[in-house]
Amino acid sequence: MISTTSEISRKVQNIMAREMGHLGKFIVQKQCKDIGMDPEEIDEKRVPELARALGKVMLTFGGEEKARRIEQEIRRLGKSEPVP
Amino acid sequence: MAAVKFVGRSVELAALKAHLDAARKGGSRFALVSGEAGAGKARLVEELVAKHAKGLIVAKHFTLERERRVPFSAFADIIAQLSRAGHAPGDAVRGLSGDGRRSSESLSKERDRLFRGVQEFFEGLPASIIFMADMNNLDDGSTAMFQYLASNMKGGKMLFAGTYAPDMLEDPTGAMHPLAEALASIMVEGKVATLPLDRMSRDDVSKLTAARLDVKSVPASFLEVVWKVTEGNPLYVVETLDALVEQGLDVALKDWARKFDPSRTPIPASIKDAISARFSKLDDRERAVLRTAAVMGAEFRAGPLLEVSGLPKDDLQQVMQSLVSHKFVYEVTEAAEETYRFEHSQVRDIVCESVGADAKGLHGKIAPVLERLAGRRPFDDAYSLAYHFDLADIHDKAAMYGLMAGQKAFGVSAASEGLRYAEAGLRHVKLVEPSKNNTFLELSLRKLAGDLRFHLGDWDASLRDLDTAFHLAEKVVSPEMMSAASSSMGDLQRFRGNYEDAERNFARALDIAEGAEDARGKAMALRGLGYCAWRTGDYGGAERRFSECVPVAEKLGDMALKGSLLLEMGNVHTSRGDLDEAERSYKSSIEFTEKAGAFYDMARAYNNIGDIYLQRERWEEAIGYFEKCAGLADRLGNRDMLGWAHFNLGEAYAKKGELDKAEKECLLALEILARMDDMVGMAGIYKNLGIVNRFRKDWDKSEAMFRKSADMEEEMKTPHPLAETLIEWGAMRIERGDKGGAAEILRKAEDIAASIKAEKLLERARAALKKVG
Repeated sequence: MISTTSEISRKVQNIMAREMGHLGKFIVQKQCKDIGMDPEEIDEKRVPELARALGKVMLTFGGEEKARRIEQEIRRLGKSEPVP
Repeated sequence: MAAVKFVGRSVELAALKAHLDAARKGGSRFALVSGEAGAGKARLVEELVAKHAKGLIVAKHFTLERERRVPFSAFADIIAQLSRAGHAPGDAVRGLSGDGRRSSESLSKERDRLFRGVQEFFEGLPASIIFMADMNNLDDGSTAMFQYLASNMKGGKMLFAGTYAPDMLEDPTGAMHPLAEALASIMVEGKVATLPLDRMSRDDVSKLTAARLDVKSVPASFLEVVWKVTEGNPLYVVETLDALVEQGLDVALKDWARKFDPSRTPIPASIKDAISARFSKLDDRERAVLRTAAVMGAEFRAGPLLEVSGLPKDDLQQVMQSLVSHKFVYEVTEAAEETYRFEHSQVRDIVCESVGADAKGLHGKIAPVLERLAGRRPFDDAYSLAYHFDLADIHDKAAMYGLMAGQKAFGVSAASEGLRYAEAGLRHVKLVEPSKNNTFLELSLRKLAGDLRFHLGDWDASLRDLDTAFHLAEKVVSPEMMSAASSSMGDLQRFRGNYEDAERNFARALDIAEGAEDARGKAMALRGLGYCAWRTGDYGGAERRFSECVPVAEKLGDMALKGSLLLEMGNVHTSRGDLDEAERSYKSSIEFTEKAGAFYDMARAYNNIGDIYLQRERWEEAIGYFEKCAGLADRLGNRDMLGWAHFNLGEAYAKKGELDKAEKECLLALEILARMDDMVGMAGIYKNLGIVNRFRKDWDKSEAMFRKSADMEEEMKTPHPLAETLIEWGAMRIERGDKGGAAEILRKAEDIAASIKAEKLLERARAALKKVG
């Protein structure tokens, strides 16, 4: 099967993989599933919603500061801003 | 697994040991080791057991690829091992391996009780290690059970140590692997620790090489060759060394490493090549036996292998000894009969690949042998029989055992596995000779698939299957099956809130059952009709149907059904506002349900009596009954009922003025019912939270809660609870000083109560309306 992962999907998955290793991808898939989004075709308009959900996940792992940082980093993908 | 010296991994071993120490102090732990195939995940846990499990209870399960089709296989095996060691599980857990019987409870309730039973069993064990290897092969039921335990287990002294290969969780279709989904949920809750296992360092590869070749040190030139090829994957190191030894590497020679010439002795370029090289060194007979064994499974019994191989017993014994000494398989010493397991799943995969197109023929040889050995108890071996007949394309048997395995899976609440068997059966039944028997087989498979899809929430497909089953039943003139299929369709539509269609199906089921004098079919149809009438506010009709059903239940001698009918009749009286009659019905229901051991309905009756006292504003008595219900639900392990009891306790405490207690009960209930996706219950909790916040005069929060509750009830088309919510909401608006808004809400409540002839509700709505003029 040819992969059709969109640019935003790829970036979100990479951010989460960086933070969570192989579990990062599963967590993106699960959060997308829970909010009715295709993890391979993340809709730019719904990035803030996904960022919020993934930020909540990160609270468990890295505390508030890290969660906020990851949420913001993902949010910026929706606005097509460069990621620092 | 055959002994491979444990090398390195000190950090990971220390981390696992820390989890074990914490678990032993109280508070079970879940730790998962992840890593690529051959990374040594299982070996790491084995080392923990060998070094630190003295005096502990240990149960191990190596999950096999084929087990993905066998519901609860991993936990059934673990519990069987613990049981043999003198730790017998309670009644709730005994049905885990499946005896084909289903209780009248819904699948989710049965599953909930089972999971709770397993949780209590593990929590009651002394300090223990439960080791589950290759969890990526777990069946859906075991995965769900693992997720439940990891989320809910608080007590106990158990370390659950599992292993899985992340790359095996990738699904080429893009669908989420069940374990990946479970992990993503549990990780969010922070309930599981993961330990990624990377490749070995060069130093550790050197130590492992020395140990495997039994030499004091490994010369740098030889290590360079091994390191370059294997890149630190321990299984690859071991397989490469074994392959080199098979090809003539002799460490007994002086200067063996210097004499070793990689250009003359081919180094396997991958694990696969290493294993293939060893496999090619076996003789024809050994290769044939190993191929048959691989098709039988990653674990296989010597008895069936003897029959399928056609070898004399002594010859097979010789072959098995050779395969063990060549480290392809090892004997499972804890098994009741002579059983072997492949050294590693990769070894079996490669042998299987070499079977190629002969696999179908081998399955065709294995299946009849297993069938004969199963004798008069094919149900016990139904999963294996369905698997081998399916892959052998022996259609009639594949369809028959597909049905048997599907029913067996349904019996242990494993709907997704059951459906896979039913679907396989349906594929084969289309290819058999048409006959009345085969049509009956197809109809049974369709009915099973329809019922399973219903429980899995695939309602449109379920309806199609049940409709097909109905027409097939018509074709073979089976009124019992026609009535059963029609009632199942009615149940489905009832759950969807589509009461008109539900009623039509129940009425058809009733006609057919009456014509065929099928008492059970008649009872199911009458109960369904009564329920539809109650839900749509036709209380007279509901009472009539339930009353008609009572003598049928008596004729059947089904006390549980009679108790359930009295309970439903109580609900009708409650909805009408005849609380005294309702209380009498509920109390009679308790007599019958207690005798029949139908504790779920008994807990419901306690709950509903509590609800009557709530309406009578006798808070203490209400709380007493709700607590009885909660106690029984807790003992039963029924989370749904427990959630309902807590949310009713929330309302009682709120009305009594104990607001903090009320909120605590509501939030506890919400946590339970949200997990179960119980929308009716959740809507009730939001209503109660609306009441709590109304008493606190937090109007905005109260407003939001009532709105949420009413929206859900409107969507579900449940008029009685909706009217109740609107009355409470209206009362809040009056207190808030918004009389106009209150009047609008209360008039809506009045209309609904009048339309369903709910006298008490109507009285309450009108009394509240008087206050707003």
